[in-house]
Amino acid sequence: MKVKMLLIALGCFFLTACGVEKQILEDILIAEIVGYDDVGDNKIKGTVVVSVPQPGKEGNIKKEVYEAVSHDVKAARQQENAETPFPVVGGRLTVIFYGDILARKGLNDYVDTYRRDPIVGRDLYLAIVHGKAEDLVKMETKLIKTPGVQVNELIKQNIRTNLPQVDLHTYLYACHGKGIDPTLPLMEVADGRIRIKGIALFKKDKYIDKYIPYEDGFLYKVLNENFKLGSYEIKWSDKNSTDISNIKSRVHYDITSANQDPKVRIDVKIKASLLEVQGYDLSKPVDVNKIEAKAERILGKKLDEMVTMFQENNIDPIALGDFAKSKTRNFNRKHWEKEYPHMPIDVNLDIELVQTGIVE
Amino acid sequence: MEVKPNETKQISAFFVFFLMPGMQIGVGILGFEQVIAKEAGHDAWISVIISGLIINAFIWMCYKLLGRGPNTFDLVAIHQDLFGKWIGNTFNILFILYFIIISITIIRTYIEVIQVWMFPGINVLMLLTIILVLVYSFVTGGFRVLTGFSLIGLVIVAPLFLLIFFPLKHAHFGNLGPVLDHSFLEIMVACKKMTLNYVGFELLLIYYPFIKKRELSQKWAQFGVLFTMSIYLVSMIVSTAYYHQEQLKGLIWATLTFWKVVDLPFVERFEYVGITLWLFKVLPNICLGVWAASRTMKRVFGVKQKKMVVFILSVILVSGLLLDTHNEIYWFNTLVSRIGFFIIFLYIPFIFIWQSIVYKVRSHKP
Repeated sequence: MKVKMLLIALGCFFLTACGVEKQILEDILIAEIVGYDDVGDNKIKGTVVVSVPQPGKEGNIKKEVYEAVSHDVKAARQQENAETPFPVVGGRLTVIFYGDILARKGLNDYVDTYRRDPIVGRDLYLAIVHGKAEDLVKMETKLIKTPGVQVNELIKQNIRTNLPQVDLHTYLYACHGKGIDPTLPLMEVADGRIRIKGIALFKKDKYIDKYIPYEDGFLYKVLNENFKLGSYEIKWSDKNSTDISNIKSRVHYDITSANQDPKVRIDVKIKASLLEVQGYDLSKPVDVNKIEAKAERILGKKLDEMVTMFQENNIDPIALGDFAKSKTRNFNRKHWEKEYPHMPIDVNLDIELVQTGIVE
Repeated sequence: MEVKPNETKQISAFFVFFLMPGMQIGVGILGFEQVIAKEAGHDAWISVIISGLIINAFIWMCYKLLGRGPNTFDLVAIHQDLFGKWIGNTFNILFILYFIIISITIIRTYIEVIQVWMFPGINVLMLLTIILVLVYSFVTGGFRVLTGFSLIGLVIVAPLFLLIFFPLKHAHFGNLGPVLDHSFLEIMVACKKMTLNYVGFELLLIYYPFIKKRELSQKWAQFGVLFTMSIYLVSMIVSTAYYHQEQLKGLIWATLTFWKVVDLPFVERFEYVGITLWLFKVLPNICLGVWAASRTMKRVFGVKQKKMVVFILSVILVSGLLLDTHNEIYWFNTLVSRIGFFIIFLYIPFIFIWQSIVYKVRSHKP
């Protein structure tokens, strides 16, 4: 009896293997970054960087680029397979780029497959390219940096200081949600390098062709979330400036009468330290109060401008609508959306310089 | 008629604590969030608590049912005592069918998860056979083995519950507000939908004779349900905070999608580990279902339990193969959910009241 059972069990094990597609590391090409561009006629061009393990060598991975033109993302993948020796597999994708022309038409059609496919993770980044995604993807192969992928690490380190969270989940969260609009990093190729140009602003899944410049990314982050890093330059006079570094920043939204005539107050508290001061008198300690007041005035104005810009374009990247919904019973979304472009939004900024470094 | 099993086959009262979540937490938890969020939105967690507390009341009812009559220590005896042999056995057969279809749902849904998330081309027949052979070897081991397996299953998957930590990093707890923004009706409808996830406690009516010091076990049964509830509650709250409502409503497997977020340096796709480990949670489920069905058959027809197990497993195998697409499986799940709702919310109170009336009438007779 026992032998019989064992035979049945073993038989099952051997037969099951028939149904499973094997994916052996040497027999697949692992896609690392991929870019999509609009090529007119409702077609897109997909460009993918795959890493090709070199047999017999250690730690030396060659990168190759393949391209294909098709109507949708997965068909482009299929087209690429016409050129590749092994199937291209998307399980380790780290960044997906979209050219700005494609992004203006709306991204949802080209994000859907990454949302749907169980093989794709949730921690991959999405980004918009100023110009053609193809150029940036091709640049990546020239910037060989092992291990890892250059752009992926570039975005990852900037998320700590100048970029909001931009992974696939955050994008999907903002795209599905009412009262939120997504933001994605805007990249460009400049002087043979890949750099972040700023934060691309979206109305739902459509890029509105406006962005927050890279250096103001810190301000956007201050408005959007609580965080601990980053620094910002305050223009002191024509030739002098002061640099403060963020130790801890807290933001709090306060929305009153969201269903009648909404008022929004955004309280921002920054605890900062002094990084750099120009044009000061060596014999005296710096006047912390003066710097605080000046910084509050300059930054406050910038934050106000940023919020007004959001309202003018009728976008809500800091999710005020979503916040209002979670604080209001029987929230009237239509009314909110109608009021949003011209409702009063006050930004109260409080900067506290808690230290001046190791000198006074 | 054998009512009291040999003491060597009995379990301590304490183990009822593990049998409760052992049967209740199964495949449902992988995606229950979507179903109840569709009804109650961000207030869905309230429904989880309410339905959990209702189940506590039903367990109290079950214990009342079991102790009242002479020798009515399991469902078969209760039915025969209340309705006579023929009608009573008809009810028993309905319960046998119910336990079988629960087992079918669990095994087929789990295989669907494997098909969608891991191997689309997997041979369903072979996978079913492997799992059913395992089920056979466990069920024929007896009830003690199943109890132990429920405990071990819970211990093995326990680390998976801690993975909730990863989505917490991106959670927006503001999503939970404003509390109670949905109507009472919406929350109750969500409660109803939540029942399939608590189904399984009624097995108590079958394995009650196997408990040593039965009177002391009620406490553990209640704690077991509270434990199940807390697991569901945490999953619900975290998915409300992590996903946007609109996003959650479109996700078939919200809890499984959490595992995608897990970012460990040595595993790129953690859900592969999770789904594989989850077999240890699903197997006790199926085993207990099959055991309950075969035990009831043995009590009703007086046949050998082992033969009945083989029969039940072949029924499961065939029906598992017949359910093919996601829509069919979804339809079957909904059907079982309805039947489960009927059994829990209508049948148990009905039989409870009926028994009270019958015993009152009997006691008036000289």
